[in-house]
Amino acid sequence: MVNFTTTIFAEGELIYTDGGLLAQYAWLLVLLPFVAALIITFMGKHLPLKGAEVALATIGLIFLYSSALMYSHITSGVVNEFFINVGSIGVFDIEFGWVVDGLSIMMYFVVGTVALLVFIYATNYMEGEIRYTFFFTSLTLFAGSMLVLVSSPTLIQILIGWELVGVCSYLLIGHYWEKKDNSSAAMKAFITNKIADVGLMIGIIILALNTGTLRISEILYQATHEYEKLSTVAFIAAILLFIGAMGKSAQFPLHVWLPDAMAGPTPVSALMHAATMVTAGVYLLARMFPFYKSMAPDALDIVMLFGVITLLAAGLIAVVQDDLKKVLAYSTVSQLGYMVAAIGSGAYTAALFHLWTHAFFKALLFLGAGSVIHAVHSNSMLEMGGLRKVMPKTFATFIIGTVALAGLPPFAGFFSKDEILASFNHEGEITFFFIAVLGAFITAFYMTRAVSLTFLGEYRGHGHPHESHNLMTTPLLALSVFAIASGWVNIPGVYTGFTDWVTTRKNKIVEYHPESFDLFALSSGLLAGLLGIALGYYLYQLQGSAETGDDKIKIQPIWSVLENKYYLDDFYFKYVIDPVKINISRAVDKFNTNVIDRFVNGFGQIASLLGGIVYNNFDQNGIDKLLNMSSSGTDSFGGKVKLLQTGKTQQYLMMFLGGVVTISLLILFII
Amino acid sequence: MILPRKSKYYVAAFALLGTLFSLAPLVIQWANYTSPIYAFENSFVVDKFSIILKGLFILITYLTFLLSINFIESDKYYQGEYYYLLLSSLLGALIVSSSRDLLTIFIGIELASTPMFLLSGWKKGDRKSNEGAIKFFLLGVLSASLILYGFSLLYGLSGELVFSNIASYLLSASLASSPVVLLSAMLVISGIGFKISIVPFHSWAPDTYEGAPLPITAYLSVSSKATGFVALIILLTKVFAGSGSSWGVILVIISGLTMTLGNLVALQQNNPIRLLAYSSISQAGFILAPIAISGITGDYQDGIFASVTYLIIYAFMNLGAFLSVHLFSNYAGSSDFYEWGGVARKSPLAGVLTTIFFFSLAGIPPLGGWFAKFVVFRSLLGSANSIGIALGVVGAINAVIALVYYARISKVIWMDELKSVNEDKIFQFENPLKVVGVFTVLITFVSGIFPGIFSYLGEVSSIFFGN
Repeated sequence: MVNFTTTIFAEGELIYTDGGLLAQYAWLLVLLPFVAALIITFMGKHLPLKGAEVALATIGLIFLYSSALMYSHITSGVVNEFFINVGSIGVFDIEFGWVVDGLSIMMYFVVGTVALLVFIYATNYMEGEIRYTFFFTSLTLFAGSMLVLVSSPTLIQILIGWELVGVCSYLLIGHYWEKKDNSSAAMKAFITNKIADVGLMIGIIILALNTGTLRISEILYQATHEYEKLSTVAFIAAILLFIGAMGKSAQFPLHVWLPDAMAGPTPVSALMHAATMVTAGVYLLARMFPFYKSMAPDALDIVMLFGVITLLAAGLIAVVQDDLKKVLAYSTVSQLGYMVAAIGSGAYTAALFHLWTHAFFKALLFLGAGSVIHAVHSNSMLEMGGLRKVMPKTFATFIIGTVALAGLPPFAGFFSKDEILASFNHEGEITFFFIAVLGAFITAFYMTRAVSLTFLGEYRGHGHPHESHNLMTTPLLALSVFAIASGWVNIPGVYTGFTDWVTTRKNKIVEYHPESFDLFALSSGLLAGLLGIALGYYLYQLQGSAETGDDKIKIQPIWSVLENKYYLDDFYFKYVIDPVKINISRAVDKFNTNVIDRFVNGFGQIASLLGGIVYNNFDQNGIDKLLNMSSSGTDSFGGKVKLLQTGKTQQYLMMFLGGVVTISLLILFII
Repeated sequence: MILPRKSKYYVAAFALLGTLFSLAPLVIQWANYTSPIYAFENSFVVDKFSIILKGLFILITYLTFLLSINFIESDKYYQGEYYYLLLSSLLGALIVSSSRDLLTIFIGIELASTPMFLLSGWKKGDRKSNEGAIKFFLLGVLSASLILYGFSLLYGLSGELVFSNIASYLLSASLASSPVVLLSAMLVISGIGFKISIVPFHSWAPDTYEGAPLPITAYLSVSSKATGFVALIILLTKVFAGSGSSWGVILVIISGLTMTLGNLVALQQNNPIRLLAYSSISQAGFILAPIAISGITGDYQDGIFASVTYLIIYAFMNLGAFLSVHLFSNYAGSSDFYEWGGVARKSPLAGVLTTIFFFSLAGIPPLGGWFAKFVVFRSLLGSANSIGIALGVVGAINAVIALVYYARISKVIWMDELKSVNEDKIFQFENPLKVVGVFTVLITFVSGIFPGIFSYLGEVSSIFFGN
């Protein structure tokens, strides 16, 4: 059944190999988590570590395998794809399979690394929590679903992975389902994502119908060579795929689920915000990038617009949050805005480069936040403060993550954000460039605020917080290494290996790539970051304190608009959810019972009326009389009955037929 | 019926074995299949299409028997009649799938539905059951007369009974879009519309479903619906194929209304059976959509393929969903699913099965319902017709709405707090029911992960349409 297709029609001067056995067995990456999930489900509770060891071993293997792939890709370049045909519907084949190329190997590595560290962390973080074994099952499935998605050579497998990720996130966000808020947050995530998923599904079907194939590489080939097949639908398909991406990658206005998804345990948030789920949308746009670039440049402008709106809108909300995890959540939304905007501006590598660095430092920040929350038993930064002294390791690593996010050299975020800014500048999008710089300023500001409220000053909570277990701090240390160094793989003019990794694909990537630092972009971004940090430090440390810092920037009515998240949730409830759920649905329900049922009941009444007439006249008067009168002579009786019966029966038949004709006419005219 | 009461349980065994055994001729027919075999002067045909559907009907009936065993044993009498009536209905369904003339198909349709009038009123003392059965019966009579009237117009016009003769007569006399034929088509659609409970002929379904014993409800929502759909597909494509552009538009509107109304009303239900009733009304809209569009585009082969694929997947997952409701309402003793908080923890197996069936109904991959929806959307969007695309958009919105109530049940049974009255009760999950659950869940999974098993249906529907 396995169909090894290695018809490579890549162009350009890329040098690559078919990856050999390592590529042929890459399906293990996808299959292992599902096997592990089964083992944990059925045997987990009887194992010494309650199933966590199976999850760890699996994810460890995935990490090793993806590292080996990464090594082989860096040294010799690997491009290959494999298909398993599972049948056909109508014109096109349904195929599953796996793809090994620069983009997917980069994602394997990110998922493998971040997931491994998060899993190690979770063994300690979740200790003693309810449904410990089930948690590891879901977490393994979550990572596995993401691997299904990123390994996909066909759109249909992307769709499956896409929804599987959604289902697993539903399980994980609602992990503490005893609290109603959490299960509601899970439902919200699930349904918001489903809206986007339907868009994706329709987009995929449109693409497949017009190209006759579900294979991504062939669709991309057609998009760059046989324009006529796609020309009429390219724009609409591109927009529909982007709607799908907006759901998973939490782009405005479909981002509302992500901050609420904080209800899940912190390791879940770390995994979700860094490596899995939210990167899916960016991954899809990157995977389909040649299609967007060559067939739907107008759609790319829209992508960029939404990205820019998201990066600014979410960044501003992050400023007013008091919940540490929510600050990070809105920060993720904002950073995803950078990535999506970068794709929109045509900067494929820059977007993926930011995805890459962001995965590491955001995982670090979330795990750091988890470590703090674990210690103080609260999410609210108002009950933290002064933790610098008691949690030195967490503090040091959190600072590294913050600086990386704020974009200061030589930390990872500096290089990736700079490349995005540089490509905005190159494209001549000056307005968007300055909004992105403003975003960098805001990012630096809210992260400084968060650090000040959490780690500096005096402790405001209760109890005696202490440093977390080594199992939690070791992943933090490992991630800090990445948060520092992961940006060094793509320094313009020095070493640009990352560009070569992710552009080594079957389909040629045409994009702008800076040869050297764009000094204007570099200095603007750096200045914005430094100013943000300075302002934050001034407001929350030098001039004021945690309690008074917010006062200076509480400018009404902006502050309350931000606190209410632009009233977007209220808007959805008031104008979308409630009308459908309450007004329309109830109205239809009423219509259904009052009009349609009444019609039916009316029919029943007519029938029983008819029955009554027939009973009284025909049965009672006819048959009964017949029996009664049977004694009064056959001759006179026969004549009477004949008259009576034919008359009444005819009447009855006339009425019935009349009813049928009326209904038929009604159907003919109404419909 | 003639056995003494003590040995009544042989009846069940005999019915089960008999049903299973009746699969054997199908397998032999399938294996020896070369070309369609006609019998009784072309009024009866054995082709791959009919063999597959017969297999489906037999399997559903078999599963319904399994669902019924425990229920019917708790009832002291009428065992023989129960199985007898269900088997009669099965025979009707089998006749429908092979029929090629007006009389045969009418007898098949009525033989399939008449026993259901009796079975739906099985709980004699129950007022709801009586109300539902009476409604069902009255409307059933009307529907039969509508179908018959539609047939009589056709017969009067052409003087033929066999479909192919009628169709060629209508073609040669260029009557395909004459008012009489359209009226006849309308009558047939409304008559069968009642069996498949499409809007506006759906209103009996929730009442009848609620009143009938649960296995019968499951059978009604799966097998009776499937029988109706098969009859409709045969009639529309074999007799009324020439006037597709007229009935196509009407069916598209009905299909859109059916999925929307079913969904929106389902949102308001907290009785799980009524919820499933409305959800299966909505699903009927999806099944109808491809065949409706094929009327407009004339690509009947594609329409049949998509509708039948959806129908088969729907049959199993919906049967599973009814099994879940059966289990939990027996356990919690409540007909309000908000009272079912946390019951899944009492029986994780039942909980997992329920979640799978409901997620599959909502169209979440990699479960079968996903593939069914994918096929339907492909057929709608592939029609390259603005009406088809509009219906696709309506379907897309409905797919989202449906998730709300399907996911809500799964959420309640897992995540809500267990009611204290339920804490000490023992969860009953009898073996026959387990067989049903495992069997339907396997099909639900396999059809989602290896949708290739449905690709042969494309060939089958082309053969069906060709003969």
